[in-house]
Amino acid sequence: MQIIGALVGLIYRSLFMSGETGLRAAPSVLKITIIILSALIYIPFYNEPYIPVLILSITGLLGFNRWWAGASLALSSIPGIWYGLTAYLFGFLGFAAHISPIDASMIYFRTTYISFLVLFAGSIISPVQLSNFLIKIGLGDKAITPIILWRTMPAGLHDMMESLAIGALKGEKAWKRLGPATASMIEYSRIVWENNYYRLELPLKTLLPYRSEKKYVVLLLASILFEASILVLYVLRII
Amino acid sequence: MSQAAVKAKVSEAGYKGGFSIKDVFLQVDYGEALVITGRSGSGKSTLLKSLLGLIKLSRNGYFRGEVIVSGINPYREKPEKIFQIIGYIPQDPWYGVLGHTVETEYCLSFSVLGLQCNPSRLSIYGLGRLRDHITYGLSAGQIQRLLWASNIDKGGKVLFMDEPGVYIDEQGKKEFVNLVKKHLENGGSAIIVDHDPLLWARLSPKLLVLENGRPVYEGVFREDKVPTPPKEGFASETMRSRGNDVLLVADNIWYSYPGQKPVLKGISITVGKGEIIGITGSNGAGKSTLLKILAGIYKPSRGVVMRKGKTILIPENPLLYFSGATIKEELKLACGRGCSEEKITAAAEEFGIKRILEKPLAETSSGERRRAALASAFLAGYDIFLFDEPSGGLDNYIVRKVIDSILATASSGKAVVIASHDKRLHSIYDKTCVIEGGVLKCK
Repeated sequence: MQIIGALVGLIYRSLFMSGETGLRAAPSVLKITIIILSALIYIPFYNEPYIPVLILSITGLLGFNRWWAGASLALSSIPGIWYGLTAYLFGFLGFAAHISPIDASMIYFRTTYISFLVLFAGSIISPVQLSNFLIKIGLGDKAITPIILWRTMPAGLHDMMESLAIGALKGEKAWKRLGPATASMIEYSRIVWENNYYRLELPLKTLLPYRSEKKYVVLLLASILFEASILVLYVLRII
Repeated sequence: MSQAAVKAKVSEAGYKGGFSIKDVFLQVDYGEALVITGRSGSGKSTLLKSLLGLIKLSRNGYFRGEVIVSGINPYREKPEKIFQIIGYIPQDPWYGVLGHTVETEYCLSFSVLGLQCNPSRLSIYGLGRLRDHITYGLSAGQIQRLLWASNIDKGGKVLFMDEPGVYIDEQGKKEFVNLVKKHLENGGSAIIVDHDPLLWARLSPKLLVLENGRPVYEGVFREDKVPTPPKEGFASETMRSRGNDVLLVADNIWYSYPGQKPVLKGISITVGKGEIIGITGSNGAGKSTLLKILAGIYKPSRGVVMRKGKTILIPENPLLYFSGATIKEELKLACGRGCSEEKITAAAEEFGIKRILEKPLAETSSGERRRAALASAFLAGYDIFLFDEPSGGLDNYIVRKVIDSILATASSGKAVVIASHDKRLHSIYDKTCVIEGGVLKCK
């Protein structure tokens, strides 16, 4: 029960803890650029994969907060640990080529970085910007989707966590509680649909308010400049 | 304006094979309010959904009759036209929110109508500083305020509200009545479902009293027509004996949500055997958070909580409490192995859920869920009971039974902590504690 609760808590903190603040409050073009550059930076640091993890951690730390950085790193470490450990163990047991603990840690960092980048991308997406974009291109009837997703996913996770915690108080086993917890999530969507029927039947027509914050624009510009410089140096074979 | 704001002839509406309301005829004019009251399960919410045309969306929902809201039939008209003229605040406020932030939720209703929103108006509703806040971090009372804001400000002429003040502090309720008064003065109208119709008395509303799905009174507001439980049957304070044993201790509790300022600052509380502690405070003060810390669901940032015995928390949303698929299944699980059928029936009788024992919990009303959760918790026999708004949406009769059960539980040496705005519960508290600015003050 505690493991499930902790996992749900990490997802919650990593993706849904902030509203339209932090790095979400920056122009989309900068966000797309930083995601592309962060993906490319994996190449020059293929043999030092902990460096891009560090760079992204600092960006996330400054752009969100320590809870985001901690939760996202912990969450992205799960696949990292899995791949690193299984590669090492399979080699050790003779099912695959033998690798050293250092090689295993490289696998860990590379996998962690990819997951970390996916979480970072998910965290800086602004549902409001996405909705406004859909309104602008004439898809107002679909424009509510990102908003609903960013509301229902954390609300559902939140309810699930609470339901699991109450199950623990009642002395129930986690697997027994998963049924009612899931049922409450399904019920949530049904009642929300019923209560908001008229709103949900209509397309969004006017843009939703969105504010870009100077602090985060500067932070993203600095990160872009830094990562772009590294890539240029790499292309020029200086590093 | 000559036409009525709402004119309805409900021959029959409800759920096939289940509950139905019959023969309700009503008319509400502009500038006028109608308060619908009645006991829990009398059909108030069913009637509201019927008037809004939403009953057809419910499982097995049906409607026979005719409703005209501001000149249009909600069963035939396009959603846009209906949404332009109505505002709807559902009973469980957390199910009425679509936006992920306060500002987004407020502005969504404007956007679908092609209007520009002015989020600075959120401060009128006490939400100014929460503009950028995520909606899933709000308290039920704050969500209720947010729904008031978006529904009133978007300009719907006819407001439909199902227990709109149930999670609101006393001051907030007064503010809301004033807002509705202004709405009526501006030519709007309101249909309000409430267990506490007296709250609305100063608006001189019409009153509709329902009983088992049938109207028993419709006319001018009369206090004597409001269902009130008989005097007898109240468990007496003197029945209670309090021991000296302490069951729950919280010492110097601090708590902050990630990335936010502390919501609780150095809270200490001791609850002994047979003691009932009431916790109040304005919306968002941290009452539910404190209960979750006392239950062990949240870990405090600083401080310790010690519990002696089995603890249970019934949350604001009782749906999260259940383990069974039907009420009977839930009560059986709570009662444990070897529990007699009589004991379950007696508990169901006590909480007025006997006739819906076989009903799937997903199909129960908000009030029914709350009663089922309370019955389940009392049957299970915990040592420490933590209740979050246990009387929310319950009528005076049921609240009296809830009070009796709480008093009986405390009398048997259990500890009870209740977080609530409901004045009806205040008389049973041994100690009333208020959270103000994150600090707990008890008297």
